[in-house]
Amino acid sequence: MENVIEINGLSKKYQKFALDNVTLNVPMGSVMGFIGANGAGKSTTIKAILGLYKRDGGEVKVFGEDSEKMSNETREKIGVVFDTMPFPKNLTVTMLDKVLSGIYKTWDSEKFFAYITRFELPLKKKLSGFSRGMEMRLSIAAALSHNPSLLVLDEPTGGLDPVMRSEILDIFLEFMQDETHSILISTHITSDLEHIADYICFINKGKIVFTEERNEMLEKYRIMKCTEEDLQQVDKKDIIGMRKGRFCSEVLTLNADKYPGMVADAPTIEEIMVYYVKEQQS
Amino acid sequence: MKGLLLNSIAQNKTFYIVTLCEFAALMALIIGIFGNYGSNPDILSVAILIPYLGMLFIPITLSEGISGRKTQKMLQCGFLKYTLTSGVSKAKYAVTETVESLIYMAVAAVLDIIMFWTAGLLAPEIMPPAEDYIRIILLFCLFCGSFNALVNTLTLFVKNHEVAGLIVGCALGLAVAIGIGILEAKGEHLVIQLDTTLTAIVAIACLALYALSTFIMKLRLERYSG
Repeated sequence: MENVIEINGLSKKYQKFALDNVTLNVPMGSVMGFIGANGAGKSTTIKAILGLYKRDGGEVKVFGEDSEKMSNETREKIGVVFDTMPFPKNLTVTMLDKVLSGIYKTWDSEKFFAYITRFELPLKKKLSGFSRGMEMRLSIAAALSHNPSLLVLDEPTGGLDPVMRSEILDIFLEFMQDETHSILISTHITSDLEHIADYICFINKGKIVFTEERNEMLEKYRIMKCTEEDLQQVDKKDIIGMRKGRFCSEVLTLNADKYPGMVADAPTIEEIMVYYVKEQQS
Repeated sequence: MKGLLLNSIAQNKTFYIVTLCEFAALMALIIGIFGNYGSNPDILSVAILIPYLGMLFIPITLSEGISGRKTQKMLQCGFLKYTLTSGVSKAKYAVTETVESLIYMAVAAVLDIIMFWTAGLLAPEIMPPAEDYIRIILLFCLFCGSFNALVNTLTLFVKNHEVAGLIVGCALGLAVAIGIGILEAKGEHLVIQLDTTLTAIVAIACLALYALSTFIMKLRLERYSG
């Protein structure tokens, strides 16, 4: 399968943070969920994909082109949503349409206003008066209105109520009806990914921990509930992360089959992430 | 790039403060210079000039709107980062906006000439001799160019304290303008006695410095926007 994003050995050093040998591929026609704690390197990786800084090492290709030398035509194929709305707040939606039509050759005003109507956003109100939810809806409408075939989304559902989040996720699923379309979505709301992601990539402290097909991942991992005695029997190598409770401990493992006497539940994506991060912190 | 022009009107308080300081500094200069020309300076005659100064103010406002001060807001709201993702090139962005700034400065100079010509008709008693007009217009170019270059340059050097750079730049510009204005009003004729050729060279140099500092400022946005 052709990859729309190919990252090999990406590294970038800042004073207090470094991306270390990040490798990630996003196949065409798939949704890649990109998860990690705050400051794990998600936004830095996204900026590298968009060619917003010079990397120290490695290779980043988008639609087969080096991200630092991407042509305008390729850039127009990428719809971007940042975690904060990037548009000047003194503009109205109508003015923003004019501004963006001057920036994107493929800008489709009709499509933009259709999304604006669907998202129930006011046309004449200044963006400074928009709530967080309205800002994110506007950003998503803008990202979808220049006919991209790749969406790069950095926390797109942050600040949205469950109803609007569900509506936005439906729009992403509509976008994915075209099999040439792909999405890279970074989010803290990992429950969203359980609805739409085909793959999950987990990054922690600048390093990729794993990239896996979502269902396979959820089938592989188990959370075992262990008493103190049970815990003595568990090989430490099998413990990816552990949470101690008052009466029993919960252990995240890939090898629950080795311990048939213990109760093992399927974890959520969020639980997998939390166990990994806490284990590394401890 | 036309889309960016819509964003060209200034958007933040810092911009208004800087532009108001610039306007105040120009007023101090002009009242000082013109106040000295009438044998009995009439404040009402000087007041006639104020609407014309407003005309000068508008193009400067526009000029400023698409140069340094606007970038403060653009950095804040991430719009530049967004435009860079769309394929708008940093160099093209910098060149276009710098050229636009200079075009507005040129418009400001033309409006200056109209202002002097009209003011000369309305209040001839306070107008300087015709041969001094060119020097005064050059003085405005010199002042605007150096003021903006100073503010931009300081903003560049104090890269993590842009607002502090702007305030220091404005304070220095105001102090120089008020100082010259007071000396002119006292009849010291520091500015009017300047050689026209020398003033023109310095004015052009200041405008070039302004253009250069604006250009560098835009290019350095890459670092911030990343």
